[in-house]
Amino acid sequence: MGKGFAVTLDAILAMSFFLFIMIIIAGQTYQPRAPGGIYLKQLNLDVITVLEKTGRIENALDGNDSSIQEILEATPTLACMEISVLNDADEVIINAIKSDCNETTDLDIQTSARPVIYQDDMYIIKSWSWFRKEP
Amino acid sequence: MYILLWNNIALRWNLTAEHTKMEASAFFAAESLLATPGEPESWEMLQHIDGNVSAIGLVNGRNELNRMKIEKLVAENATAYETIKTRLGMQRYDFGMRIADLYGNVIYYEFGKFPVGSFDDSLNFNRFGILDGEPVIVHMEVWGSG
Repeated sequence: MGKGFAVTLDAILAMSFFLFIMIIIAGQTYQPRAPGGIYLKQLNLDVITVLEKTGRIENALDGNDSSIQEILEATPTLACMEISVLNDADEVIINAIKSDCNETTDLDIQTSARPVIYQDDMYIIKSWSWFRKEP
Repeated sequence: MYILLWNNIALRWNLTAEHTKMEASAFFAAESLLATPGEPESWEMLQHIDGNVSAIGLVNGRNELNRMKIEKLVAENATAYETIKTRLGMQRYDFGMRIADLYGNVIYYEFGKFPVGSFDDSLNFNRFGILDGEPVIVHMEVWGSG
C-alpha cells in the first residue's frame, strides 16, 4: 500500500514537471512578428510596377540610375530591396540596392523576375526583397 | 500556478491570432484598392456608395490611381465609412488611408479614421501608387480589436 502511494506521487511529480516544460515550450511558440511574406510580395510587385509604369526603368537604361534608387529609398524602413536589370546576354547592366541593406545572412529573401522591352531590346528586371535584420 | 501560466499563454495566442487576422484583412483591402477598379468598374459615377457597389478599388490598371475614384471615396467619408469598410472586408476594424508624395511632404488625399495617440493593436504600412504618372505613397493604418 505504502509503495503504491510512493509510485503514484512519483508519477504525479514527473507529470507536473513534464506539463511545466510543455507550457514553457508552448509559450515560446507564438511570438509577435513583423508583417509577413504577403506584404513583402505586394510591396515588391508595387515597386516593379511603379518603376515600369512611370518610365524609371527606361530612364535608368538611358543612364539615370537615381530614378530606381529614389523608389527603393521610399520603401518602408523595415523592408530591403535590390533591383537588377539584365540584358539579353544575361549581363547585369543596372544594379540598385537600398541603403543599409547589405546584411542578408540568414534572412528569407523573395525573388522575382520580369521581362521588359525597350527600344526593341529585351531586358529582365530581377528583384530581391527581404525584411531588414532587427537590431 | 499552471492555470495562471496557461491563461497567460492562451491570452498571448489569442492576441497574436487576432493580429494575424487584422494583417490579412488589411493586406487584402490594400490589394483590392491598388489592384482592382472595383465592382461595378465605374462605381465612382454612382450617386452614393451603397448596396449597388459590391467592391471598391481605386485604380484603372495595377497601381494606377484614378483621381475620380479617390475623390468619390473621400467625399463619402462622412456618410459611407462603414459601408466602405465592409466592402473592403474590414468591418471589424477602423482604418485610415493617406496618399502622399514619396517623401511624405505633400498629402494629396486622406480618407477614413486615424488612431488618436498610440494604439496597442494597430498596423501601419505603405504601398506604392501612381498618380498622374508620378509615384506616390499610399499609407494605411488599421486598428481596433474587432
